[in-house]
Amino acid sequence: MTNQIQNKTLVTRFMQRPKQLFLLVSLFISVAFVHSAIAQEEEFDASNMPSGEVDLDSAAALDNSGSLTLDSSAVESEETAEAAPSGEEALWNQGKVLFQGKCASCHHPLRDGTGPALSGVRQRWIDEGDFKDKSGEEWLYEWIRNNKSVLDAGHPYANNLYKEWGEANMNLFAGLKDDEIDALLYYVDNSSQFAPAAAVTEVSAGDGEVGGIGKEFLSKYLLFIGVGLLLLVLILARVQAVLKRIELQKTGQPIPPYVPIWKSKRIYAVLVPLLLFVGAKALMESAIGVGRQQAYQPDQPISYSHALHAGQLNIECQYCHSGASKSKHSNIPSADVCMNCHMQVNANSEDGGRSEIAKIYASVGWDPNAIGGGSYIAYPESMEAGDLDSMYRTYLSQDYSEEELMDEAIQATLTEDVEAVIAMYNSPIPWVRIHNLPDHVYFNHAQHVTAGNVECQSCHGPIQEMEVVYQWSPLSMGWCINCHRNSEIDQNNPYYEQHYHNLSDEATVEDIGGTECQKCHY
Amino acid sequence: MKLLSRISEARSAKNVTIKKFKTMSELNSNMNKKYWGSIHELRDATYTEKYEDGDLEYLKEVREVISKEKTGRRDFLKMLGFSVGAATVAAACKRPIRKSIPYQTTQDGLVPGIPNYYASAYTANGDFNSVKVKCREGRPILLEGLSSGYSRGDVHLRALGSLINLYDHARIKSPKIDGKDISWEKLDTSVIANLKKADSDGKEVVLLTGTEISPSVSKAYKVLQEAYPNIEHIQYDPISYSGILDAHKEMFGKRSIREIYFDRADLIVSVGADFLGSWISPTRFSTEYVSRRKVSKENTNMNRHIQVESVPSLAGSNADLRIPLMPSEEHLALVQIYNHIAEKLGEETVHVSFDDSRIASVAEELLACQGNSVLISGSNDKDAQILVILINTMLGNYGNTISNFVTYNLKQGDDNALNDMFLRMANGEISGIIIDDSNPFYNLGDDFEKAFSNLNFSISLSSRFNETSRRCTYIAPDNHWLESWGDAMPTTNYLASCQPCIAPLFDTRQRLESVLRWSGQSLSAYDFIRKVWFSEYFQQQSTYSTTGSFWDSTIHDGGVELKNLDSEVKTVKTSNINSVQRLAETSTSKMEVRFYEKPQIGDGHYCDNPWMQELADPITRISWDNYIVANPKWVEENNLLDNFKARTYQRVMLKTNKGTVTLPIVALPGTPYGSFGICFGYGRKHTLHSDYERGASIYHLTNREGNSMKFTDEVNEVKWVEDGYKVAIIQQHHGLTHKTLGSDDESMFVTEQTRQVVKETTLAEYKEDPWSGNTIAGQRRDKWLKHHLTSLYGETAWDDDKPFEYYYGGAHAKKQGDGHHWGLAIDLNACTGCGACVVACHAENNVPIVGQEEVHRGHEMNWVRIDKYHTGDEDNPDVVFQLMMCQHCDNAPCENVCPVAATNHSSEGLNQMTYNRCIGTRYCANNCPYKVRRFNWFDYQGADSFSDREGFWGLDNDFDGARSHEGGQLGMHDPLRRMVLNPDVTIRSRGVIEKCSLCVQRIQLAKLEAKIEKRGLDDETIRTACQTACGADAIVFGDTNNQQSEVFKKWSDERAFGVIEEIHTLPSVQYLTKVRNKTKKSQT
Repeated sequence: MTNQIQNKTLVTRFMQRPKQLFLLVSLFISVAFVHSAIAQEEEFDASNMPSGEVDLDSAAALDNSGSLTLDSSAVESEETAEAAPSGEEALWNQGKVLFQGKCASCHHPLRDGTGPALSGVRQRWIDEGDFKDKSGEEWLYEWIRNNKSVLDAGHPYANNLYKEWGEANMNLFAGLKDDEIDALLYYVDNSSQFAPAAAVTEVSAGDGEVGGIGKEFLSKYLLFIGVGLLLLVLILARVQAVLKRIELQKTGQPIPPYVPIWKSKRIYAVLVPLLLFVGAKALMESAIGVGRQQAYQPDQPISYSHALHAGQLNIECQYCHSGASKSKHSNIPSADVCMNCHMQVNANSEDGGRSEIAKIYASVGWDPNAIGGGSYIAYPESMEAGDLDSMYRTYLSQDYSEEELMDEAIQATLTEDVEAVIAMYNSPIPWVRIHNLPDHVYFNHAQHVTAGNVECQSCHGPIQEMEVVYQWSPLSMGWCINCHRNSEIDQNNPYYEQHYHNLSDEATVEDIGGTECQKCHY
Repeated sequence: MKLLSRISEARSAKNVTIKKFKTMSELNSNMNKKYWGSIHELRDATYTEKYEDGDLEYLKEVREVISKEKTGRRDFLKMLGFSVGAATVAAACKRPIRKSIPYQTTQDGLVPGIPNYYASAYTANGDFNSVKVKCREGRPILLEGLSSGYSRGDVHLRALGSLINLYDHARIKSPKIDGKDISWEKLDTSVIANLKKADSDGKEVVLLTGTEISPSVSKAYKVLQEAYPNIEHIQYDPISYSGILDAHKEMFGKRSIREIYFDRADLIVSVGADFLGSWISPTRFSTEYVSRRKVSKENTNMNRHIQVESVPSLAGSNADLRIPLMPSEEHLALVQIYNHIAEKLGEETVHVSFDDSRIASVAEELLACQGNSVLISGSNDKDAQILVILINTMLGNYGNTISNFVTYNLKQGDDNALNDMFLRMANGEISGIIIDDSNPFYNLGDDFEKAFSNLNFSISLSSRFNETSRRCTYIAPDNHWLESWGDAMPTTNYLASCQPCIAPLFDTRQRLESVLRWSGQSLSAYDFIRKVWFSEYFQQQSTYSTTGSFWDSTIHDGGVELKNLDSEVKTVKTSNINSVQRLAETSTSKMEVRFYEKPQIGDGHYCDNPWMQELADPITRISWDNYIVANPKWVEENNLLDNFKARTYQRVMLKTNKGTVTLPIVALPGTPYGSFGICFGYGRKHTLHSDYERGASIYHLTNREGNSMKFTDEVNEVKWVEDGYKVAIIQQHHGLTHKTLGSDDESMFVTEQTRQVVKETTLAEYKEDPWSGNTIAGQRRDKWLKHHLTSLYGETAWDDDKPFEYYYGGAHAKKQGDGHHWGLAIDLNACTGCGACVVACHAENNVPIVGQEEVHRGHEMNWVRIDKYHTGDEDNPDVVFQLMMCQHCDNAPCENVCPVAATNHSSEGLNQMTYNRCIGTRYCANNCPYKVRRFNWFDYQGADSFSDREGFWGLDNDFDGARSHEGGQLGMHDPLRRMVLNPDVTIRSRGVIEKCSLCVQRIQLAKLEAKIEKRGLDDETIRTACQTACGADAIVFGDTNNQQSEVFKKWSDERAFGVIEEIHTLPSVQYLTKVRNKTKKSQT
């Protein structure tokens, strides 16, 4: 009998003992369940930002992807497009695009910025702008195209405006056609008409969350089943052992000594390799993850809100990060770029941003109390500490009433704020770097932004939603390569016409060598 | 070692006969010409194997160290546990907070990540080079050639080297009195007080400088002299040109050397002047010289170059005909040439007993080439230079190949004035001295030291710590030239501008401003230079009509041509020819020495520059040392030959009439029997690292008889001192001419194949048949290729009508319109071997400097090297220089053997090296037939986070920078030094292979720019770093898939060949056969 068994293969041995086979299989299944549950959880971690997977694959198509896209303007245009816009809406849309491209960095339809609020501008020019033989409206059109010539012509209303706004020069937009200006002016007068529904973005973000929760729930459920099955296996094994002992007892055969489960060689033979495998995989995966910092969201020296600037105010990313289109680096703007707007734009107390903006003022050496809304300090390095303190204290106190200022707690907060502001005085702002690529990776922003037409959000995520920026993508090599494999190149470029004659229409970055080592590592 | 010993055991056990290596002559029997690297290779063909053994000697050392550390199983487990634990802890640690700090305010014209280029000019001690400075985020990181400038796009080695001197702890960082830091105000007050006191005491003050070619600084010196009439300005060149200048003064009345136009000369005869390496203005000379050596089917109007010299020089190595003579015979040769020509033209002759038929034929050639030839001499003897002027006058070369108007400002030193100064200093007539960046304590030696002790005060304007500035009481540290406004006039008709590319890193002030302050002027350097330019040079140019455009455009372009104000001097003052009679005396000495200047170290100013030290001398291919070169036969006869296996040399003491010097002796083919050569510039003291102080100074040996420095002397004795001196010579590293090619059934080492690596022909043969010299296995290359390719790929692989299009389109798998295929073409005729490309590559690609010890071990990291081959007569071999870098083979042997695919091929024909995938097996380096892959033995540049662990295995490496030295660290671990690194190229960590990437960062950038600007990529938009340094255009980079490209044209040339392409590596670097103008009277 024993010889016979020894001669048989492992499989036939198990075939003869269906109970053992069942046990083994169920053990495997339960372990697999548990493992897949863990793995799914990890996956979820890696993509717990809403809409992650979709955007990864459709970088270029982000504008059109509708439901999961979080750029509010894109959402609007999508919605309006779906609803087959009326003539007014089309005009409004055209105007908005123009306004945001050309005017929004200095003007707001309803609020004063570097330049005046533009709502009602046409009427103002019609009322006050008649000069020489031309009507005010005609002058306005000329003013928009070439404000210098209007000033030179001695137009009184224009010159008054110019002086009133600190003789700040306005850009020339010589290329604007009449109908484009019409659209612009329509938009500024009716900017709130088709105003974006903030809810839209929230809902879409919520959708992502729901999906995420679903997944999380599912993975927990699977884990529960797995553990349950594992317990079941153990119970069954015990039951079987007991039954066997009873059977042996009944038939009067000798009973083998009792071997507890933790001493069972059979269990060890299965568990040890299994644990080694699981452990090695876990180790490898965590080793790969060393140095990666997805979702990293450090505190920044200034609580600057992208949600406000990029989202609500709709400022172009590249207005501040101007390097992205032409250079390797998408530079963090110098504080003087902030000053382009913040020379005029001060926070009010409701926003609670006064002390944050004051940090910019400190950084560039700006005295916000000076006559005319503030001025640069002539010799920033020779300011006395006491003068600095009183300067920014005066400015920050504007948020509080006189009674409030008597309160010690408020005084303490104020002192804290003033100290934080002065710490930035006359020095660059020490932002904390979020996106870190290792030294052996060469990444060029211009390559992606300009040559590849990739939206910033494709890699940086819904930046216009982030109060504090965090790293949205894993920035792993697999993630890069995936995109290179799937992204089609824009062949409408003489470069490809000249050097690549045989590319298919759907050629991807990979087809022109975009996954080769020395495209990124040198 | 084990493997080897096992093999040898096996051999002896089985009594297997090992196939004997063929002798050199046997090997070469089926080749046109013998090529050999060193004298050992010429003597013994089996040397390669022995040399490899030499490598293993070193490995034995390593093994010994490692074997002391006994690592058992338990140790292994402990280490495993520790490392896993450490990794866990490291991973669990808080990630470091990295800052990303923008500029406080936006910088005009500066976008982070985009380099800015500025035209400027490098000037130092009479060197001049117009350059384009590449700056990233305000840091100069590379100098490139400025093709519109005076140097015609060439970059001088020392100019490139000066870049790293900017980021150097040897710089003086603040003004000092008696070695203590002090404010500028206090220093100025003390200096002015001293100058005033000397003035009131009626004592002289000497302003001792090197040759000053900046008109503004010279003007400032005049202003200083006006304020203190007791100041005398004396200029000196450490390696003197005083004799040449005096000869010009006597013959033409003006003490300056006439400008020479090498591009106009059909025949160049140089008697001991290394005009391609170090003489006067080698950058300009090289470009002009090479412009007449790029032959093609259409243009065979090539110049002919004859070099008469003793010690082989760079110019001599490029010559069509080199006539070796004893150092003292150089003058005799001049006299003979003079006599020969004077006799023919009916002029007065000199009596001379020297008669050499070779020299006579040189004179004949000169006569046949009247008006289109140029004769130059490196001698500093006034009478010899008078002869040179007389010969050129007789030949009618003035006005054609030598200017009648324009003169050089590059050398103005006056040895007479210097000697006079020593006398007056000894007499106590001089109370103080002001010294600029020159280093008289080092290169004027004891004379100066003695006289210096008589002085009351000394002021240094030096920017660096050296022998002299350390001894001076007051130090007013100068800016680096990249931090300064400046100007320069290399010749009388060219005004170069020099603009600051970085704000001063330390509390320094440019020399010009210091001098102005002491003169009581408050102008800034910028304002002063503008004032000088507008008042003196604006009228001298006709390009610009307003001062504004004159200034702006000149600064932008880097210089402007001036009208020449000198009147033409046609008649040479007749000189009494008898005064040169003394040159005709023959020497009785059997042993003579010639002192010469190396291109990279120069007069010693660059001795503490790591780039210059590490760059192997093009002639001897030794780095980090100087040495005595001698005739190989003489060396052998005296048993002084080196042990090439151990790479050790014997040191000898050489005794001349003036003193002794002890240096290793090196057998250099081409050195005449009995003559020796030693270069200047080594044996410096007080540098930051002991490696910089290797070698010995020879300034104390230079003969200053007759008020002018002589570069030759008799040798009385050569005495053996010691054996076993390590010399970092790379001539025998990485040989590729013949190799053991794997194994057959019989033994490990089998068929030694001699490979023809370089190809050459003569002009006469080339004119007859453009294919001449370009053969493979005895067949014309195209015929061979046809056979080779059709046998591999079938009949369709070749088309007789467009052979090369087919070859590179067919075999290389891609054609026009299939993207790019990058390639290089290197013209062996245009490469002079100067080595600027090597340094440029170091700068561009962050290639580490490894130090003397590591070079000696064969671990030098150069991505590109210049191989030197000898051919022909052992006593006077022809030399070929061959640029060798990764050949980017389309069928690369290295790619197949990498176990982790760290090296593979890109679709654009690049052989890519991925450092982070490399695990350092070095299989690729072993399998590379070109020996261009380099292994990173140490963390040279601080890429690994724990740099302190270097030296752990007892392999102490000085240049890893882990150890601190006086004044800071030398290596790239130091934050100051790291400022020179190119941010677009990664820093390689230790334990990986690295190699030439064809400057892939430049390729990628150019492609990106084309895509952004929506245009195709023009030919020659991309220039590799080595290419930007080469004014001779020996290197052409381009897209070989573009049939209009320059590189494709060169690849299709009859002269094109790939190195050892018979092994079917399909290299993407093609060379053009060297053509020597060997036939006499071949001018067309």
